[in-house]
Amino acid sequence: MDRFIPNRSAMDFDFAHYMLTEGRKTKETQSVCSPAREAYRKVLAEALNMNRTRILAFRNKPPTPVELYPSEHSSSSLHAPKSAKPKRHIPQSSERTLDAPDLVDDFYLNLLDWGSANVLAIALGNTVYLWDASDSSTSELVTVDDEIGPVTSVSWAPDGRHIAIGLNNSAVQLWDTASNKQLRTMRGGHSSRVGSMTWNSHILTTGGMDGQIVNNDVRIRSHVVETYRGHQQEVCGLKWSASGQQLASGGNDNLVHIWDRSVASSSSPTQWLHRMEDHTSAVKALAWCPFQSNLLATGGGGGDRTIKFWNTHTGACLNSVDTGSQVCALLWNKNERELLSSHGFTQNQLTLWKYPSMVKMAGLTGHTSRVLYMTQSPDGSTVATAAGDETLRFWNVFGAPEVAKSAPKVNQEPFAHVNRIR
Amino acid sequence: MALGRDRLIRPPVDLAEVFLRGRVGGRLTPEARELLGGPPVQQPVTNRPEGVGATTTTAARVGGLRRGGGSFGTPRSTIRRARYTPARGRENTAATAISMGRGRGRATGSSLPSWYPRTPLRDITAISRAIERRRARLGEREGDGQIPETPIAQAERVLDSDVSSSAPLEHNFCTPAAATTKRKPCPPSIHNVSKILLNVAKQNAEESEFLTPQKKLLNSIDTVEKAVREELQRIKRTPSARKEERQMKVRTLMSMR
Repeated sequence: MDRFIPNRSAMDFDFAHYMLTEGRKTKETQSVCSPAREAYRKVLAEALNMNRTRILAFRNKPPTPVELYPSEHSSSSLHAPKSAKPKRHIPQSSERTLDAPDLVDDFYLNLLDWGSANVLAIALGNTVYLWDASDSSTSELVTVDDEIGPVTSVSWAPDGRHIAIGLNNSAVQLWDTASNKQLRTMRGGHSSRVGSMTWNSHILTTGGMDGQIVNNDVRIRSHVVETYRGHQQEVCGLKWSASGQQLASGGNDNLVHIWDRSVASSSSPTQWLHRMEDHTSAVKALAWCPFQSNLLATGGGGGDRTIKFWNTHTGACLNSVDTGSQVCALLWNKNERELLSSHGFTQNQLTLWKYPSMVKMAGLTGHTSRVLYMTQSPDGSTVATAAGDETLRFWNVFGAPEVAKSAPKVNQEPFAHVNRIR
Repeated sequence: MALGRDRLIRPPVDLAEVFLRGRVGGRLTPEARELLGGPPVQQPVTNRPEGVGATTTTAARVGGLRRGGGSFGTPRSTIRRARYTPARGRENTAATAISMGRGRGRATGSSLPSWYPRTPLRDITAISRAIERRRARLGEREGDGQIPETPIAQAERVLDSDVSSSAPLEHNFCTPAAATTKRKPCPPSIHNVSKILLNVAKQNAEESEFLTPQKKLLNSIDTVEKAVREELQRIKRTPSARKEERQMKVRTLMSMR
């Protein structure tokens, strides 16, 4: 197998262009160059290049060198095949199963979230339960009335203490889990149920069945600060990027929108930065890549069944993979270059993919109904899934966090927080 | 309870008819919704397209009717466990059509038996594993045709057969079953090579379900090769082996004198 086949979707084209054309520009000024300027230029180049020397990225790692025959014992210096790290064993069945009676089996809802304080929240019917992962204790946060329920979405604030609850009657409640008190109820943003929510520091962005996306500032009385219009049907997927600069939304109208804070506030005719129409089914699964800031993965529903990768600066589709079944949720591994997808009929499985080769690394089964809800622990080692079979399962699919590289955090891309440098 | 509260005299309503006829563009009309006793929902401005599953929606409507059958005609507040029935939307319609094929008649769709006490977030790891094991055992024992084939059981069987075909080298020793937790008893083997083969088979069965049989074979051959070579190295390093080698060398030298 020829491993020297470059992979376009893994390349950074801006960097490649710079590396190829940079020589031409500096030649003119090389004659008058002080040592200080040289040094500064070197440091600048290092920072911007982020110590990359290669332009091309390949699919497979170089194979480990292996001896053909074991040589004479006294004369040989054994070249033991060096592997980067021991192969991780991925258990194929769930670690633990919890009962989840009355869990609503609706594709468009988002009823599961794991907060940064290591507490998992799940909505079962009209009630929101909190499960503390450190001591496996369960507590009931709130039960809403039949008229305003059932609960249609839950989302932890970044502080891991406050939680937003979206309801069928279009209201959103904000709770403080430390004191178990309700702080406020936000009404008027939507005209039908709130099925998706995502936080961006103090802004809670909610998506409704009315197709509207509302930015709510939870600190002020008049909480609706902005409304993004673009979806014609229910907004079922909603995620802010890690930088908080871009918002990705997926709807039942098969569209994916990228909303950028700088573009939305300007007086452009359309509020969205990009509108992607490639999917042929509802898009609920959205996941921003933790190690490449402008990379978004999206998954299509029953009629589409693909996972697509997007460059959210340009709106280009980098790759599309047919998974064979409805994609309900996507999660990136924080420690490795891997992507986990959860599926519906027929196998109701979780699939772990290597990125960027999109080779299937593992398939996890156990659920007997489509795996609609998926979230991961704050340390990135455990994945929790819930399905219409009324079970909540935990999977040790991402591996222990001790093995993790700390490098991804350090390699912050310069100028990642601005869309245009001007 | 509905009869007691309902003082008005109404003509008897065929609920199935209402459900089937009362759908406009994939959604229930407000009148049909009232008759069927579902939650009042505000109508969104745009219409939802029928989508791909147009032919399956008929079956799905009936399926949706049956799933929520317990709550029709009864006020929701009196039933504590009336489930919210999400029968709308293309992504859900496909799912309810599929659940029709389940054929087990489980009201809630849960894997636990109906008599089992349900407590939110109670740990049921052991119970669900036991149920899975029993289902797998039943499936093996009954074979085809005796238990109505469900799509899920079929998928499980496909997985099982995949797994067993991934270990062609070890049919003499043991067939590891990775999909279920129970394992068939393996006859004890003394020889090192057979042990290596067993370990390799276990690893292969657990991690390589998605590779083609050829790739699986190649992988297992590679791992066996590596393992055997390591064994050879290990044996070579023992002091008795080293002594043997030295003696061999001495003998050769002496013969050349």
